[in-house]
Amino acid sequence: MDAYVHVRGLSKAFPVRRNLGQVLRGEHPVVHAVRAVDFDIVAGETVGLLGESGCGKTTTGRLLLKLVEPSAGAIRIGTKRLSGLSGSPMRDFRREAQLVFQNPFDALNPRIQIGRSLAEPLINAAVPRAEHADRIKVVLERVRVRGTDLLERYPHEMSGGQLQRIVLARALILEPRFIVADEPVSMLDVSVRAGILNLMRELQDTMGLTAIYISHDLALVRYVARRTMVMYLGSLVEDGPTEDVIHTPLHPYTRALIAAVPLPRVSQSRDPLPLKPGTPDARKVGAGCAFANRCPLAMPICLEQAPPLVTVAPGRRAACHLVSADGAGGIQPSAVRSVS
Amino acid sequence: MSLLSVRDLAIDYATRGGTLHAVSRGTLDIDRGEVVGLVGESGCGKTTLARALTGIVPRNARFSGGEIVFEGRSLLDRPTSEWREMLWRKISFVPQSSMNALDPVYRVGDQMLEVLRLRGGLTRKAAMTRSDELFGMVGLDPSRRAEYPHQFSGGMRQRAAIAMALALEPALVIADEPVTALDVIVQRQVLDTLRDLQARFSVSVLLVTHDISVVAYVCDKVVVMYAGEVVESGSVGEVLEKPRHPYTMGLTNAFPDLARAGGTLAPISGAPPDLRSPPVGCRFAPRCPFAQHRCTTTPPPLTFDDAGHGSACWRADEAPVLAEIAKDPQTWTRTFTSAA
Repeated sequence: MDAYVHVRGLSKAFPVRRNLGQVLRGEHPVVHAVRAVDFDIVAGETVGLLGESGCGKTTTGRLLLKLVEPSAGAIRIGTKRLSGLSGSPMRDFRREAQLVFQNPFDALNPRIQIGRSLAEPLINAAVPRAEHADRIKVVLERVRVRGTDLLERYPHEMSGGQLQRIVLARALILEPRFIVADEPVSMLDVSVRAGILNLMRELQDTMGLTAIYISHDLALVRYVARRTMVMYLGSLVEDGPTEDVIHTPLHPYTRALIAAVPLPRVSQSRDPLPLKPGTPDARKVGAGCAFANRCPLAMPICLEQAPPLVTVAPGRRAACHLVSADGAGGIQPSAVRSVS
Repeated sequence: MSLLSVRDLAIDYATRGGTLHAVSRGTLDIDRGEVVGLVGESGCGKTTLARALTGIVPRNARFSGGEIVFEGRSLLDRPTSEWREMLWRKISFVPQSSMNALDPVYRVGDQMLEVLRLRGGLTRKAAMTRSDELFGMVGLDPSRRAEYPHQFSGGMRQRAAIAMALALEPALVIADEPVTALDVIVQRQVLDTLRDLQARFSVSVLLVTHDISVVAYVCDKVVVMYAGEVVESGSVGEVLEKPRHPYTMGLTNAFPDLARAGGTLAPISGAPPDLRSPPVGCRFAPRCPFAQHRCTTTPPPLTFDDAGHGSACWRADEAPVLAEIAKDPQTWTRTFTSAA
């Protein structure tokens, strides 16, 4: 099938503050937030983008929505190439692709009533005013928010769960085909979070949305996305069906990440993580694998040469010399820690 | 005899909208060398309760009932000055964001020395030696003592805050969401350090968190709060695997478990009550799928069995049956009010 989201060689470098020496030498140091990322997403698919803070997952999401411009690489979404997009095709793209914000308490203007917040995207997209009331009614049903005086309320008069539904409604009101949800439940309480996650699962199906769900939480990614891509310091290190990634992780980083997730049960592994001491630092990534300094399995080649992201099976990719050497995953598959 | 015993503690806040009963049944025991988790959602009073144990409460707060007994002596009868004297030496505190614990304009090492010298009465030389020891214990390089907090990563700051909390070998460390802002791998490492040092010094820890996985990973006992009241407490295994209060059942259902495939997370419908005018009966009744008439009229007392497993529910006797029913997500779509 032809990909709906098509990304090749996507890179983004941000300038960092220069010290005096660098200023005098005329150097312009940068930090590589995203490094030559390639992926395709077919229409209707939901993909989880998993990684720790600073791995470039949020920047990737913003690049996909053309909220920042890439340093290199190309993005095509649907029929549109994002590079150089402007004018009327750009306005179309803004309707087609939407961002779901992380913090519902910040995402809505506190001085504007909910009804106006919801109408704003319609006004921007030049939807005839006569249609507004209907569109708002439909979208509120979609996100399951009810209340007679709801549209007259201000954000502070609503609970976090209700607000996140409004934020979702605002993203959906223009009937987008593609959404990027950046940690959409991280600010919500557990009992409320489940409702939003269920709603997102349902909307993906009923609206046929193509979605990227950005999170640091593997358990949440698993709940909403059948496919997961793992990022580490700007690079994609693993990609595959979520259950495969969890049960037979190919990259040593993914293994450490999975081992680190605490479980809501008493019997669980408390073994040391399969990691060497060290910290991730995007500024210190050299020619080799970005994970080599923390990798318990690192070999001499890992320090010299960055492993390419290779396809080991249909829909299953990993960037590790151990994996590419064997062609099919040289690392012993480690299932999720055994649970008694 | 327990190290700390809190009985029916009540704390009110004076707000513009009237008196807010932030904590109205704070009841918990901590034995020597025990790690106790205090869980609940935002606004349930867990942070207010935990901070109150240090004697530091906001200006508009007041103790309106109950007692706190620490090492056999009542704290509420003592003058605040005496209570404050115990800070660091007897009871210490690790806040959620260590940016709050560490003063940004002083070097991390100097802040440590201040605690050791002013609170602990150590000489400069002894304090230096001890400070290096503490840095090493939490896995920080002592040579970084001359750095400022902003030069530390989030995990390092949290380690420094833990080192300071343990500096004077207190009997009790109160940690308020100590790993919430951290990435999962760092979170795991900080929890391991905390647990390791806790065992080595047999210090007691009260760990405030919204994350039952963190509780399951690191705690011996757990205390569950809802709307200002302790609704259930006991050993982690008992409470998580044989919950007696419907709120605890709901909370465990809403939590994703990486070791368990599939399943649907069930949200708890509704929102916590306004603590300026809480419901007359059980405070969870309006959201409880098992609520009966008496639940809406009479608050259930917190009662304990011989094994120390306590719960505040009129239907606690039926808990095993209710817990089974609670596992069905459909259960949580009906509540007493909507059924009536």
